[in-house]
Amino acid sequence: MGAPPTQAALRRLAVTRRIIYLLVAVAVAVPSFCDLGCEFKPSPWVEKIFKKVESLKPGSPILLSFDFDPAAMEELYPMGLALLRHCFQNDLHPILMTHWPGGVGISKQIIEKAAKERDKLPGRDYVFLAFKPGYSNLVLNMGESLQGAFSRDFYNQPTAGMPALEGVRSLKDISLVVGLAAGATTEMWIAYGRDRFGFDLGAGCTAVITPDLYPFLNSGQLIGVLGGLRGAADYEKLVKRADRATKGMQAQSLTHVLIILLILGANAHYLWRRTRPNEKG
Amino acid sequence: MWYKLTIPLVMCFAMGLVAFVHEFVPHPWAAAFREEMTTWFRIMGGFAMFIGLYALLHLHVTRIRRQQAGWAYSAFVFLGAVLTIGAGVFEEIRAAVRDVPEGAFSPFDWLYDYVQVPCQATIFSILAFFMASAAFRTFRARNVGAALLLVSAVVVMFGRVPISEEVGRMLGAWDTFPRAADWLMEYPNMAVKRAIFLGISLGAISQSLRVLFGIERSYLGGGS
Amino acid sequence: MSRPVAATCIALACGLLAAAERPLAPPDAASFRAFAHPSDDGQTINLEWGRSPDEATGTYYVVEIASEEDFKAGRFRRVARVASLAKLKSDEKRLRDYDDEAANRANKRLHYLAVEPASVYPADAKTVRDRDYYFRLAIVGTRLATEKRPKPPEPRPEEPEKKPRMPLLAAATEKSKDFLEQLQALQKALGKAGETIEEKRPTLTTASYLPLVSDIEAKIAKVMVLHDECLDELRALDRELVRRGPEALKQDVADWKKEVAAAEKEAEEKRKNDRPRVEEEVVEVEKDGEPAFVSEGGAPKVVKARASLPPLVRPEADGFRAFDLPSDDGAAIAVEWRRSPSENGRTTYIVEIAQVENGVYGAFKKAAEVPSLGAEKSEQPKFFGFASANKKLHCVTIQPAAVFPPDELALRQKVVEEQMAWMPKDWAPDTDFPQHLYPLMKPLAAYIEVAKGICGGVEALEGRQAPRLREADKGFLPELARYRAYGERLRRFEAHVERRLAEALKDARRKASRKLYAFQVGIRRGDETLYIQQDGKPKEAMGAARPNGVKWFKLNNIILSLSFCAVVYAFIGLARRNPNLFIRKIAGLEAVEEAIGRATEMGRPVFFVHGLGGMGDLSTIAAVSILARVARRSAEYDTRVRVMNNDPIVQAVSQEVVKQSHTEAGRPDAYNADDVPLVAPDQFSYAAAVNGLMVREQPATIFLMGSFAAESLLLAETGASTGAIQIAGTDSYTQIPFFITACDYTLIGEEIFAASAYLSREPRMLGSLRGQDVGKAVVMLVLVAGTLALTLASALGHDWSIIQKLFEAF
Repeated sequence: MGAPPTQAALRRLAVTRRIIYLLVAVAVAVPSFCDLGCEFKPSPWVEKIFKKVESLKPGSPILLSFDFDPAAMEELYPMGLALLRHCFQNDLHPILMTHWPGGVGISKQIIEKAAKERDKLPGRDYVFLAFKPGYSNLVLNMGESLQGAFSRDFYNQPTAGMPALEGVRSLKDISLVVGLAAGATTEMWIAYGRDRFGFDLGAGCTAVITPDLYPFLNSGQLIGVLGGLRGAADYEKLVKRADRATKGMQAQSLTHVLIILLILGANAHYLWRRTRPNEKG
Repeated sequence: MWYKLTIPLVMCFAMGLVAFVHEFVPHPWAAAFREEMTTWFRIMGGFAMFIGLYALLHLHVTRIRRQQAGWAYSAFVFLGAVLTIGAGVFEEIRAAVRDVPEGAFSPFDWLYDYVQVPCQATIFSILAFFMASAAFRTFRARNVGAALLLVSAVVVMFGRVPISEEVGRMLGAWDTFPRAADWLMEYPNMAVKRAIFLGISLGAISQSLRVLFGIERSYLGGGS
Repeated sequence: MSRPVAATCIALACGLLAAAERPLAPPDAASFRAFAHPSDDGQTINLEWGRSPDEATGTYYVVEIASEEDFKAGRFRRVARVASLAKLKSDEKRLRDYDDEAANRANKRLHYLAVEPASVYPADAKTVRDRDYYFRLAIVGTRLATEKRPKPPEPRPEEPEKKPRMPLLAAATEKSKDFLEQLQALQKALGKAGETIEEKRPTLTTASYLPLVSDIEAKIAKVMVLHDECLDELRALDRELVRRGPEALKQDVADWKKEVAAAEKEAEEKRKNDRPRVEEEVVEVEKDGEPAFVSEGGAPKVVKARASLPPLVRPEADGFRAFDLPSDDGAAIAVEWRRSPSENGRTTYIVEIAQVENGVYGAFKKAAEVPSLGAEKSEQPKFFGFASANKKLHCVTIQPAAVFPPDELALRQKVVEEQMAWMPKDWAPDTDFPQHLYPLMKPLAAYIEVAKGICGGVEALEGRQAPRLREADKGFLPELARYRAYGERLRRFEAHVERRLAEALKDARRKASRKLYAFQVGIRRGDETLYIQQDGKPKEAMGAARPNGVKWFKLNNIILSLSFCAVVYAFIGLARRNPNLFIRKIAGLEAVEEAIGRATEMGRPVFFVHGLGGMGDLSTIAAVSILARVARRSAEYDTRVRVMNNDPIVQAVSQEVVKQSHTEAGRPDAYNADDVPLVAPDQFSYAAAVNGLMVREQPATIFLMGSFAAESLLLAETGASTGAIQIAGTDSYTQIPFFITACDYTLIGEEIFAASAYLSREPRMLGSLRGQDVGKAVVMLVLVAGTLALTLASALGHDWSIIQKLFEAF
C-alpha cells in the first residue's frame, strides 16, 4: 500500500473529474438537440425474438415479465415499449406481469402508453396481472393454473372468463414468454418455466448482465436476447418505430467515443511522461 | 451458555443436510417438505422487516432528538415515510368509500412517477459519469497486462455503438468492430468468467461445508 | 522473360483454366440403384448412390423422374435437389441395422433419398404401386449471378389522423349512444343469465355460477366507465347551454360537420396523388451450372423402379415389458418393446392401458400413439442411461392418472359439501344469485330511458341531463354494491374450493398411479393394427408406479459432491495434526491491518459496507467474519468503525458481531449501536445514503465486502474521490471489474471465502482451503484431460463420448 494521496493530488484529481463529468454531460445532451442519424444493423439474437413474435397468429397470447424497477428503466423501458407496440401491431394478446414490486408502476406506464396508441382495452385486448410474491413458486403455480395464481388483474377484474385470456389456462397454453430482467429472473424463468412447461423464452436485460446469458443462447434455452439499450434500439428498428432507445444510441455512441479519446489521451500523456529523462514513470 | 451455540449449529446442520438430500430424492415427501419450509421461511422473512423498521426509526429519532450533525436528513426520512404511507392510506380509504373512476388523480402514483422513478433513475445514471472518470483514471498501459486490458476495453466500447458500423463501412466491412467486440466477449471474456465462476462455486461449497460443520460461526453473531 | 519461363507460365495458366472449367465427376454408375426395404410404405421409392469426388459446399445432387409415358417421350422432371454433403444413408433412421454396425458404417459412403412419385404426378397418388418410374441422377455446381428485382416498398410510418374536434353537443350525444348500446347489451346479458339459471338450476354448481357472475361484472364495469364519461360530457354540456344557449351549440355541430367533410376530401385527394415509387435492387442469386449425369455406356443411366408395400410385421414379444419409471416421484410407468421391421414415416405405435382389479382386466383404452421413428429408449438417457442396446428399443412413459383421471365432479361435490358445513346457514349460492341479479334490472331500465332521451338530441338541448343521470344512479348503485359483494363472497368461496380440490385431486392421482395396470402395444399403418402377440394371443405387460428414493441420474453429481466433501474433511483433519499449512499471500487481506492503522493515524473512521445480500448469501457470511476481525482490530486501536447495512437481519448479526468484538478487545464502552445502522433496504437509496455518508464523514478506510449489483461502482468511485483506501471483495463476478478499476485492493472470486481462514489462521479453516484447492486442481485436470481425450478421439474417428456422458448433468 502506498502513501496516502496528497491534498494537491486530490485537488488535481477533483478538477480533472469535474472536467470529465462536464464533457460526458455535453456528449449525452448533444443528441437531444440535433439528430446525428447513425445507421445500425439489428443483431441476429434480437431478430430471432422479433421473428418469433411475428410468427404468432393474431389473437395469440404472449407473456411478458417486466422484472425491473425504475433504476433499470432507461435500458428496459424502451425495450418493453417496443415489444408491446409490436404485440399490439400484430393484434396479439399480451399478458404482462412482474416479479418486482417496484416494477408495477413502470409496467403500468408502459402498457397503458402502448395500449392507448392503438385503442386497446384491458381485459379485452391485454391483461395486466401486476405483481405477486412467490418468485419461482409463482411460476410453478402459473404452470398449473394462471387464473389460480392471479385471480384478479391489476384493475381488479376477475381473470376467469376474461376475453384476453381465452384459451389460456396455464403456462402450457402460452408459446412465447419474454422476460426483461435487471437481476437474475431470466435464470429463474429458464429453470422453473421453460424447462418444465416447454414454451419458447426470450430475454431482455441490462447491458452489464448480457454476457451472463450467452451460455443459454448457445444451449438453445433462450431463443434470443435484447442486450441493454442497443438491444432496445435494434428492436425499435425492427418494428420501424424509432423512439428513446434509438435516440439513446446516439448519446451512447458519443459518450463511448469520448471515453475512448480520454483514455487514449491519458495514455499518450502517461507514455510521454515516462519517456522524459527525469520522470520515473 | 451451551444452548446458544449448540442449538443453532444443530439446526444449521440438519437443514443443510435436508436441502442436500432433497436435491437427490424424487419422493413426493421431499417436495412437500421443501414447499412447507419455503412457506415458513417467507413468513419469518416478513417479520424481519419489523426489526429493520424499528432500528431505522430508533436511529433517526435519536439523531433528531440530539440534533446531531445531519439531523435534517433524518427529519426528511420521516417526512418521506409519512407522505408515502399517508398517500397509500388515503387511496385505500377513498377506494373503500366511493367508486374511483379510471384516470382519477392518485397521490401514491404521483409520488411514484414523479419522485421515486426520477430519483432512482438519477442515481443509476450517475454511473455514466463515474464510469468515465474510473476508466480515465485506471486504464493506463503500465505493463503488458494493463495494455491488453486497455485495448480490449477500447475495442468492446467502440464495437458496441452504431458509430463503429459507420467507421467500418468506410473501411470496407461494416461489421469489423462489432464482430471483434463480440468475439472478445464470447471467447476470452467468457472463458475467464467461467474460470472465476468455477472458483467461486468451489469456494462457496467449501464455505458452506465450514458453516454446516460448525467451523465457521461468525454468522451466529457471537464472534469466536 | 526467357522463353522456358514464359512457356511454363502459359502451361500453368492453361492448366488452371482447364481445371476451372473441368466438368464435375458424377458418382460411380454401379452404385446408383433403387431398392426395396421391409419398412417401405407403398408411396415412396428408395434410391441410393455412391459419393462423387467433387462433393463440396455449393454442389448439389439433382434427381429426375419420368413416368412411363414421359420416359418414352424423353421427358424427365426434377423431383429433388439435395446438397451434396447431406442425405447420407447412415442418417436415415429406418434403414439403420442395430445389430450390424459394419453395415451402418458402410452406409456412410452412400447417399439416400426416398422419392414420392405422387409429388410430381399427383394423379398417380392411388396407383403408385402399380406403375414403373424412371430415375436419373446428376451432380451440378452453382455460381452466383446478379439480377435486378423490384424492391418491396418500405411500409410508411403511421401518421396519426388529424380530426376536427367534436363539439360538445355532438360529443355528448355520441357518448350517450355508446352508453345506451352498452346498457342494452347488459340488459340482454342479465336476461340471458336469468334464463340460464332457470333452465339449468338442478345441474349448476357454485363453479358454474362464477363465470356468469364475472361476465356480468365485466359488462357492468364497461357500462360504469361509459357512465362516468357520459356524466362528464353532460355536465360540460349543461354549463355550455347556460352560457351560450342551444342555438349556438347547434351551429357548432353544423360547422363541425362541414370541417369533417372538408378533411375527408383532403385526405382522399392526398391518397390519390400519393403514388409509391417503384425501386429496383440488385440481388445475388444462385444459378445451377451444367449437370453431370451418372452415365453408363456413354448415356445417362436410367434406373427403373416401383413402390413396394411389404406386409406389416408386428414387433417381437421378447423385450415387451412394463415397469416403474426409475428415479421419479411415482407418477409414471415405462413401457418398452422392440422395433418392428415395418417402421417408417407413416406407421405409428399404439400403447393401450387397462386397469387390473383382483386379476380382472378392465377395457383397454388408448394411452399413447407415437410415431414409429421416434420414442426411442436412447432418447431418455436421464432415466435409462447410454447403453447401446437402448437404440433397439422403443420406450414411452405413461401417467395412469392422466388416462384414468379421478372423477373431478364427484370430488368437487364432496369438497363443496365439506366447505358448506363451514359457511353461514343462509349461504346458498343458487338462490342468492337470482336474488342479486334481478334487482339490477329495474334501475337499469331507468338508465336506458335517460340514455334514449339524450340520444334523441332534443332532450339534450333542454339541459339538466346530468342530474337526471345522477337520479338514476340512486337506484342502481346500491344494487350494484350488493351484487359486487355477493360476487366477492362467491369468488372467495370458489377460490377455497379450488385449493381444496387441487389437494384432493393430487391425492386421488397419487392413489391411481399406484394401482396395477396392463398394457398392450401394436403397430398401426392406415386401418391395420397388429398387436404384439405371444402364442397367438395379444401379449399384455403388467406394471405399477412407485415413488423412488434416489435420483439415479444424479449419481455422478452425488459422487463428485461427496468426494469433494470427503477431501475437504480429510484436509481439515490433516490440518489439526499439522497446523502450519502454507497459504499464499492475498494482497487485499494483507492490507487490512495497515488500512485500519491508517485510519487510526488520520483520526477518521473505518467504513464497512455490506452490500445487498441477506444472511442466506455466502458472501455476506464471509463478509461478517471479516467484519469480526476488522471490528476487533479497530476497537483495539480505538478507531470508530461504521457498518452500513441493507438488510435488517444482516444488521442484527453485524451489531452482535461488532459488540462482541469490542468486548473481546476490552472496549465494550466504545460500542455504539448507532454505528451499525440499517441505512436503507432499497438498492439505490442505500447507495445514495452511503455515498452521502462517505462524502460527509470522509472515512480513511472503506471495506466493500459482500454481494453487490449495479451500485458497486457508485460506492467505489465515491470512496475513491474521498481519498480513502478501499478494499473490496465480492462473489458477484459482474461487479469485479468495477472494483478492480476503482479500489486499491480487490478480492477476486473465492478469495473472499478464504478471508476468514486467512485472517484467523485457524488450522481447521486452513485445512478446508487446502481441500478446496485440491478439488480445484482435480477439476482443472479433468477439464484438460477430457478436452485432450475428446479432441484425440475426434481426430482418430473413435467414439469416446463416454467421457462426456460421465459428467452429464440432468
